[in-house]
Amino acid sequence: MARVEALVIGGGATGAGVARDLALRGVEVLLLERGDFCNGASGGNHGMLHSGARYAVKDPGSAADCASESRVLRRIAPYCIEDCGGVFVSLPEDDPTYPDRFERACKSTGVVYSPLTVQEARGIEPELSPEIRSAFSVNDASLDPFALVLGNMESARDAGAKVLNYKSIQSFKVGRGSIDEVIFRDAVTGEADKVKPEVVVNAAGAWAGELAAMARVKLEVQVDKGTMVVIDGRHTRGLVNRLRSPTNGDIVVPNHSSTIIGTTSAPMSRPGPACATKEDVQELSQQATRICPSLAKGRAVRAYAGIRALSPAATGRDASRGYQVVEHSRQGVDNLVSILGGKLTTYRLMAEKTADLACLTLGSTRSGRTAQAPLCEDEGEPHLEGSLQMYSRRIWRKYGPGREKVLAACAQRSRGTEVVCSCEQVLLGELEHFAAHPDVRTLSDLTRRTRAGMGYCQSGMCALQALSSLASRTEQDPKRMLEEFLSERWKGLSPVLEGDQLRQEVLKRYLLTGTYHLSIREGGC
Amino acid sequence: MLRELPPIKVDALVIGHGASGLMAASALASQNNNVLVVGKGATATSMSTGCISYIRKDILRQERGAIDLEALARSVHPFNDIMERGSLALEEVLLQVSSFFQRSLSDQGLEMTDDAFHFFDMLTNAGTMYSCSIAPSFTASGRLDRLREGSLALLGIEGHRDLDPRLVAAMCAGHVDGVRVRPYWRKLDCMGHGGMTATEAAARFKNGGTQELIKTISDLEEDSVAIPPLFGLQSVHKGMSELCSESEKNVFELVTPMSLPGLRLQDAMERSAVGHGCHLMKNHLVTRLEVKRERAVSALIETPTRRQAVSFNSLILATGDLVGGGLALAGREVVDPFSTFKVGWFGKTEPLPGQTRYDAAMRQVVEAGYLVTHEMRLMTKEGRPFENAFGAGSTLASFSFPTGVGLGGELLTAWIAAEYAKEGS
Ligand SMILES: Cc1cc2nc3c(=O)[nH]c(=O)nc-3n(C[C@H](O)[C@H](O)[C@H](O)COP(=O)(O)OP(=O)(O)OC[C@H]3O[C@@H](n4cnc5c(N)ncnc54)[C@H](O)[C@@H]3O)c2cc1C
Ligand SMILES: Cc1cc2nc3c(=O)[nH]c(=O)nc-3n(C[C@H](O)[C@H](O)[C@H](O)COP(=O)(O)OP(=O)(O)OC[C@H]3O[C@@H](n4cnc5c(N)ncnc54)[C@H](O)[C@@H]3O)c2cc1C
Repeated sequence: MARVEALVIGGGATGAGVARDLALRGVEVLLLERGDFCNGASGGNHGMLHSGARYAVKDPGSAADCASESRVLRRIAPYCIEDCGGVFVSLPEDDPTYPDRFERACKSTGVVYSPLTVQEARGIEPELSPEIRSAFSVNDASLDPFALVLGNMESARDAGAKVLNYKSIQSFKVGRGSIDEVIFRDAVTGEADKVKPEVVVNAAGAWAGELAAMARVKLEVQVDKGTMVVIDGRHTRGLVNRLRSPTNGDIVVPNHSSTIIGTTSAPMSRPGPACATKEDVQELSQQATRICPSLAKGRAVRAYAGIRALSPAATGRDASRGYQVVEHSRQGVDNLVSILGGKLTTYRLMAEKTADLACLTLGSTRSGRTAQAPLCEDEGEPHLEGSLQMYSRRIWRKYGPGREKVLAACAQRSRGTEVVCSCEQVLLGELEHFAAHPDVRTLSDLTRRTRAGMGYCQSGMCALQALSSLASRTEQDPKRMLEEFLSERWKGLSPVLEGDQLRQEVLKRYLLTGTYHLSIREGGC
Repeated sequence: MLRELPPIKVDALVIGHGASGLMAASALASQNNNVLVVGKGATATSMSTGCISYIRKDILRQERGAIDLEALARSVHPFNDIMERGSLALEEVLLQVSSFFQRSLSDQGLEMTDDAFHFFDMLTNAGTMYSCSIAPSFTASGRLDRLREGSLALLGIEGHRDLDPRLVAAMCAGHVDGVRVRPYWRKLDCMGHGGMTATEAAARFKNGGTQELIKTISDLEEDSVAIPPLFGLQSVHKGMSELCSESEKNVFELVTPMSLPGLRLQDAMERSAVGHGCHLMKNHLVTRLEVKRERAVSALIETPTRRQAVSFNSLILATGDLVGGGLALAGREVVDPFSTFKVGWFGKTEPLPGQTRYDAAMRQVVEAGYLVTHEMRLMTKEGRPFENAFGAGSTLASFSFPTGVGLGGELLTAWIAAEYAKEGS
C-alpha cells in the first residue's frame, strides 16, 4: 500500500495552502479533495482580500491577521489580485457612533485607513448614494479565489506534492492512538483505494467535524450559509463596504466583468448543499442598492451560496472569523491535525501554522517559506506576435503558475485564438488546454479554470463549444455532461430570473433543451 | 412627429408573421379574403431548426400508430377540446393542414419530398430540405437507416460555427449503429477569415457549390458526408445536387442548434403567403387594439415614423411566445401586452412523455399564454369568448416549444383559427 508522509484532506484554499507549504519544506504530501478544487467555501465567497477593516471593531484578532496577510498575498500572488482599493460608507439609518469606533479599532489593529469627506468618497466612487454620511478609504482588494487555489495546487505540484481531485475520504482505520490507514474513493468511477499516512491534516472546512468523527474524535463546527449575487457589469471602481456592524448585504465587490454583492449569514444544522434562495437575493439587492443605487439597474446574472465553518463559541455574525488549529493527541489520536475557520485572506497564515504542527508530528523542524516564495515567478509577460499579442496580457494576468502553457496552447492550436465565450473573452486555446488537463472531468471544472460560462449569458453560447473540447477526451456521455452542467448553471439562475433575462433564458432553453432534448434538473436544493 | 396615414379596412388582420400567422393568412387569402399580415422582429420560426412534427400525411394514413393522437390530444390543450367538442375532426384537420402546407411550400421551391424524411418517421424538415438531425434523442429513436452501413464524415468548415464536427461526433457516439463517424475540420479559402453566419454563407454559395468545396468533399474517404447548412432557399436544390453528383457521395446538411435553418422556412412561408395574395407589412408593430364588448374592431399599426389605423372583420393574433416577443413579462408574470385578452396557464399540464420537466416557475412562464376556446376564440378578461378574434400558434397557453408541440401545433392551430375566422369575414 502507498505510504505518504502527510495526507491533506480538502481542496479549498486552506488545504491547498497546507499542501504547498509542506511540499516547500520538503515533506512528501498527498492532497485529496472530494469534488473539484474550490468545492466548498473557497468557491462560494465574494473574493474579497480583506484589509481587516470589516472586522476591526468586532474581531480585532482577525482584523490584524487580515491586515498583515493581505500584504503578504499582494507580494506572493499578485496575479490573482486586482488592487482596486475600497471605501467604507455609512447611511443615515446606520449607528452614528460606529465611524468613531471604526477609526479607533483600525488604529489599534494596524489596519490602514484614511477618512474621506462625502465629496471625496463620491469622487472615488461616483455611483455611491448621495445619502452617505461618513466615509473612509481602506486597502481592500478583489481576489480571484479560483485562480488563488488552483495556483497553490500547481505550485504544490511543482514542489513535488501529489494533488488529486474527485477523491472522497470514506473512512479511517484507527489503530493504537493514530490513524493507520485512510480509505478513499474516486467520486466519478467509484474505485476505492487506500493510503498509509504518517500525519493527516483535516482541512475539510465545514465538513471538518465529519472527518474528525471518522477518527472517533469530537470536533465542534458551526456551519453557516452565506449568499452572494452576481450583477452584470462593474458598477464601482473598487470595493464598497457598509460602515456599520457587519450585517446582510454590506459588501460590493467588482470582480472580472461583474459586480458581486454579499452576503447573508444563516446558521445551518449540518453541512450540505448550499443554495441561494429568492428571499436571499431580494434582501441583498435591497441592501446593496441603498449604498449604490445603480445596482438596481444592473442585471442579476446568478446567485450562489457558500458555507463557512465558524469557531463554535458564538453563532452567525457574532462568531469570530479567526481560526483554530486543533491537535487531537489529547483526544487520543496522535497524527491528526484539524484546521477550522479563518478567511480566504488568511489562508496562508493558517496553512503555515497547521504545517508547523504537522511537521512537529513528523519530527521535522524545517520552517515554512510561503511568506516569501511567490506562487509564480514574475518574469514579465512574454512578447508575442500576431493576434495573440492582444490577448496575452489578459491571459498572463488571469492564470498563475503554468500560464506560459496556456499561452502556448492558444498560439499553437488551430483556431487557438478564436473567442469562444464572448462574455468573458475566453479563447478556444484556453478551453482546449484545460480540457486536456487530467484534473478536468466536467464542464463546470472547465468553467472554474477558464471562466467560460460565468458571464452575462451564463454559458448560453459557449456550453456546446466547451463540450466539444472536453467530450473528445473523456469516456463520459457528453449529453449527460451537458445536462449536469446546465443544471448547475440553472441552480444559480433560477433565484434571479425575471423580465428580459427570463426571456433570454427561455430562448437558451429552446436552443439547448429543445433541440438536443436535454433534461435539466429542477432548480436548487 | 408620427405621420398619420389614412385608415384602411381589410377582411382579416393577422398580427405576427411567424409560421402560425403566415399559415392562417395563407389559408384565409386562398379563399379570397383580403388579408393583411403585420409583423415585427425576428420570429421564433426563423430561429428554429424547422423540424415539423404531427403533420406528415402519409404517416397519418399508413402508420397511424406512429403518432399517438390520443396522447397528443389528452396532453395538449386545446386539442382535447377539439377532439371532444369541436365540429372538426382532428385527424381530418391534420390532413388538410399538411396537404395545404406541402403544396404551399413546393410552390416556393421547398419540396417536402421523401428526401426530407430520411432519418425519421415523425419529423419532416421543410426548413432544411435535406435530412436533418443531430439531436441525439432523435437519432436514437429514429433512423439513420440509409447509413446502416458505411461511413459518415462530419465536415466542419472553419469560420462556420453551425457544425462543430467533434461535438456532433461526441453527441452521436453510441447512437449510430455500425456507422463509423469521423469528424474533420477543413478550411475553405472561399469562406475567407473569421466567423460566418448561415445568412452570410447563403450569400457566398448563391451560385451553387464551389470547386473547392467539391474537392474537399471528394477527398474524404467516407461515402457519406455531412456539411453545415451553406445554401439559401434559392440555391439549396441546385447546390446540394451539384455537391452529390460531382463528389459522387451522399452529401447532406446537418442541422445543429447553432444553425438557423428556420430562415428558409420563414422565407418560403412569407413568399407563399404573398403568393396567395396576402399583403405583408414587415417591420410594423401593432401597438393598440380597439375592442367593443366581444368584438375587436380596429388596430393601430406603427413604425418609428408612421402610424395607421386598420379596421377588420376578423382578427388573428399570432404574435408568438416569449421568445417571439408576443407576450410581455411583469417580473415573472406573463401578461397580455394589449391588456385586452385573457392570459393563463394550465397548471396541471403534465409534460409529454420524455419531455423536460421544468422548474415550476420556468414551466409556468414558458407555458403561459392566451387562453382560447376549442374554436381558437380569444377570451375577454372575464372569460367570455370573442366573436371575431382568434389566437394561433405559440402565443397560446401551453403551445410553446419545447413543452408544447412546436411548428406542427402552430400550423394546426392557425388552420383552425382561419377556419372559424372565415365564417366571420
Ligand atoms: C458567503 C461567504 C463569503 C466569504 N467571503 C470571503 C471574502 O470575501 N474574503 C475572504 O477572505 N474570505 C471569505 N469567506 C471565507 C472563506 O471563503 C473561507 O474561509 C475559505 O474559503 C475556507 O477555505 P477552506 O479550504 O478552509 O474550506 P473549503 O473551501 O470549504 O474547503 C473544504 C474542502 O474539503 C472538502 N471535503 C469535505 N469532505 C471531504 C471528504 N470526505 N473527502 C475529501 N474532501 C472533503 C470539500 O469538498 C471542500 O472542498 C467567505 C465565506 C463565505 C461562506
Ligand atoms: C432555436 C429554436 C429551435 C426550434 N426548433 C423547432 C423545431 O425543430 N421544431 C418545431 O416544431 N419547433 C421548433 N421551435 C419552436 C417553433 O419555432 C415555434 O414554436 C414557432 O416558430 C412559433 O411560431 P409562431 O408563428 O407562433 O410565432 P413566431 O414565429 O415567434 O412569430 C411571431 C411574430 O410576431 C411578432 N409580433 C409579436 N407581437 C407583435 C405585434 N404587436 N405587432 C407585430 N408583430 C408582433 C413577433 O415579433 C414574432 O416575430 C424552435 C424554436 C427555437 C427558438
